[in-house]
Amino acid sequence: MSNTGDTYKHGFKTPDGYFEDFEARVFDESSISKLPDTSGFKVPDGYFEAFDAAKLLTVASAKESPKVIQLFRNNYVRYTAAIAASVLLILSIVRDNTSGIGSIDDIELTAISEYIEDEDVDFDTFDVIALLQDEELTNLNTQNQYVTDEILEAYLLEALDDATLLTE
Amino acid sequence: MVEEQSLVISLQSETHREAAFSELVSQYKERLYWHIRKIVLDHDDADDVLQNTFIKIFRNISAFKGDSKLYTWMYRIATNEALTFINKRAKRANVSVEEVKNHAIDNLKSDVYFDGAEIQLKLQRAIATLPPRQQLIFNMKYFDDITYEDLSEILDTSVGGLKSSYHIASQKIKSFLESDKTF
Repeated sequence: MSNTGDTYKHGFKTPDGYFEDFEARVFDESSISKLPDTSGFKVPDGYFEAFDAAKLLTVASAKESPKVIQLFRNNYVRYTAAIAASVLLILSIVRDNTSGIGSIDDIELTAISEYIEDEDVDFDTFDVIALLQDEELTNLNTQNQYVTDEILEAYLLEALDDATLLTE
Repeated sequence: MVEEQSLVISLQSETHREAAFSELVSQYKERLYWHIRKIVLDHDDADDVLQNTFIKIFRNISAFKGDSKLYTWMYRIATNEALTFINKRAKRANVSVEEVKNHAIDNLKSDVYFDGAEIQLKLQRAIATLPPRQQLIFNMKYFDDITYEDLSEILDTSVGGLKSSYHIASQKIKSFLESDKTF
């Protein structure tokens, strides 16, 4: 192919031999010719001589051993370990409880009420009554007498707004 | 050197398999080792990957149909094994592949199985900046002088694509080294 301009109507020209060595220039490796030919990696002495096909064959030929399922499983060790772990866990919890909490007074009342309200405790009225002495129950009844009808009405009028009363 | 085709036939026969495998290992261990070493960088890692590669070759040789050259098929297995090795290491350490590679390069300075020349270390750093595929192409073309046709079989890429990738990789390495004032 000529580059003299006879072939091309646009009139541009290229230097002689431009296209002949174009590919060589594009993929010119001389741009990195300052670099070493070797990677710099070495191997230990005698590595390749010792690289043994026989050893590889042993591994490569070995069929994966099938899983053996025991007909009579001896779970004695497992059970013993599980029991021992449980005992240790219980002991550590008990020890933590005794050392960490002084008395029930240390617990915030709000925390107790939250606990009950969240239904984390399954108590009903009868359970509560069973825990109280007769005297305490009498006192409760006596205290209730202090809430007279007038006091209750005044409280309701103060605490509830008209809209609530209308809807109820 | 035993002709490739007869080696494949022997490898696929029950009776001559083991002798042929020994021949195969002796013929290709060095080439495959250097290919793997340039990917994983550390000798012990390269040794592990090389052994796994030959084990895989032995176990899968019956599946080799002769659609490509035996050595390009083995290079393919070696490349996959080496890349898988690095990926697994990155996953285990919960870091990126680049971080694994950079860490390996940092260790080269104190590696007794590395020549230690500054320019070679810089070249490894420059190669590590390339995308993984360009790294492979550059290593195989520049150091191993594998033909584009064989590279095309190994990497399953067109010759044109490989030429342009190699050219781009070379330019990037050149710029990396030029930006380094000490080069």
